[in-house]
Amino acid sequence: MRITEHPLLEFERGKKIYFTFNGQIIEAYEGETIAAALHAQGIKVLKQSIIYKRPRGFFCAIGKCASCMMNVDGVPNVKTCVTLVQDGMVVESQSGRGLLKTESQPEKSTIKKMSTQIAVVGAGPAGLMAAVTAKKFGAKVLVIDENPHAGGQLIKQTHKFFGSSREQAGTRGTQIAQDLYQEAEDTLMLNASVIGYYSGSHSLALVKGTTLVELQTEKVIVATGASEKMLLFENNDLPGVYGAGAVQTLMNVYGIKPGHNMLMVGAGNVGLIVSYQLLQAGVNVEAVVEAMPHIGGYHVHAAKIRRCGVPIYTSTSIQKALGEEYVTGAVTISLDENWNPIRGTEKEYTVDTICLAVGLSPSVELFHQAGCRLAYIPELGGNTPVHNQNMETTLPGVYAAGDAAGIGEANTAMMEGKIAALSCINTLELSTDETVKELEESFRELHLLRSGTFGERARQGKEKVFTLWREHHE
Amino acid sequence: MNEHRRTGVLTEEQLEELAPEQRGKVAIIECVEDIPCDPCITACPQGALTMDSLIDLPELVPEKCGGCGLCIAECPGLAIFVVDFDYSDDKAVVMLPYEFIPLPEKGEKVDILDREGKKCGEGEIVKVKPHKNKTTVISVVVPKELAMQVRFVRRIV
Repeated sequence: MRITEHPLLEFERGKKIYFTFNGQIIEAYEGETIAAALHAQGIKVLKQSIIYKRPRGFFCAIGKCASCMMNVDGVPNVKTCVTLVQDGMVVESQSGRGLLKTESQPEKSTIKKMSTQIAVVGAGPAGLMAAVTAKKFGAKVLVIDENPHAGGQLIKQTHKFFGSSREQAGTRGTQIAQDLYQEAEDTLMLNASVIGYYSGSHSLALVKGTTLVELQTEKVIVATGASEKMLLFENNDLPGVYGAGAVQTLMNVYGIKPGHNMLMVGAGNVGLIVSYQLLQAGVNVEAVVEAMPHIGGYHVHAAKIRRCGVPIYTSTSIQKALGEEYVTGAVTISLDENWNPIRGTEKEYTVDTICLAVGLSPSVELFHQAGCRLAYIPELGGNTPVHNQNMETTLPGVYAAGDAAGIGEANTAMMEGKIAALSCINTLELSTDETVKELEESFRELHLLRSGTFGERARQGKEKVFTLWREHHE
Repeated sequence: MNEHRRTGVLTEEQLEELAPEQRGKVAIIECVEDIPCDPCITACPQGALTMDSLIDLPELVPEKCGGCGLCIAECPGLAIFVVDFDYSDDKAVVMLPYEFIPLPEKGEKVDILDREGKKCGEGEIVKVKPHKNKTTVISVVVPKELAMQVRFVRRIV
């Protein structure tokens, strides 16, 4: 399943190492996650569901969905999609809730205090851009991310970006991620999870390994990104039903083919782009199905896969996944103008993977825990933190940026990260004429990126959020 | 709703508008939506492409376009092609963006595909021009009557 040659990417694999999975010796490379290494050997079933004991594989591959949790070196509930594999590791599939072996001595935990001026949660496009901007204007910044790599979803975006040549247009997402990483490297704390915000002392609690850190900070920018939406259909929990981001993680980060034959569900930009990336990785895309009567993404992305021979069926949805232990096929069905399935239009595909690209929801857990006001904004993907133009939430000093502040795309996420950082700077003692001017300029750039037909929903959603913020402060 | 929003393929009417003249060697900009995007403008050394605002469609001045194809690899949407309608009496050349491996070689015979990926004949590769951004520009000789149909090639294995 490993990709050796790729038209756009080079995979620098680490040292060869070995670990065991249910007693079986598995070859892996240093720098891979446990789940990726298992997938490279064709192992897709990672655990059993708690009550019905149904087979489970990963879905999101970015540490959000919890369906990849396994026993690792005797510790249950380890998210194997974000845990790097190590030589000699003992990995076992998990059944039930997991049992902590109490006879073995737990590793000693430590408590540490740290301080910074601006804490950024999440090292994706918004978080990294916030860090780079804050650093540029002299603020002390710390960026925390639970993944082993910085860059969030940018590290998988092999396509050239749209937008303005003045910013990053024409550059591949992977390159933008590298550039941002280099600039922000000294601000990063990876493999660390923020577990809470405490307003009394304006601090964050975070866990890195066995260390609990109390991080004192003046400002917080939450850029936790999004999680992929699930779709309701028979057997949607079978291993081999993957979110589009997971498919990208496997093939573009670790150089592992997610499967050989794919059905793509969703013809928004994500579904179209990932279909093209699958073709580039040498995976056959049987078809793209889209429940809406039209293609949601850009025509140019659709045209790229159409001329490679991939059909796109609109007004069509997935009815069920086939297979016992993992996906062996899929059945699609046409929908009428009222979105009802039309009997007799079922079509069966022999595929080993089903990729869901049916939208994203903001990851708002931290806003919720902190006490920021949330509102359900369909145009922005669901529950969204209420914020103003400066990206400040209803909790003074806590800012939102990127998909966590409402689903958009990477260019607007980076611009929001920049705006959030400049807004912080301008309320700290670091404010200058230049930072004030830069913020004004960024508002204009963001407005431009959201102009046009495709930006309409985001514009409407943000207008609602801004209105709610104003009402909240009246 | 425009037909291309359902099919992912431009209609004959849309193509007519994009390339009304069908002579000489000229860029065909198959960009029909108001996406905020502008790298093609700065890519053109002749100033043949213009745009008032980021959200506008690029406008081509055919008289200024020499068909050099520098814009092909710069377009993030891979939506620009150059067609030499007058390559010979019965042949045209289509220059197209290509991001797959292995690359075809000069002189190689390939299947020529239309916008739906359907094979419409065979063509010959006459130029393979790599770009530092990894979008290779491939020139393929096709029957003249297929100049506005062929938009992709597939290696014959």
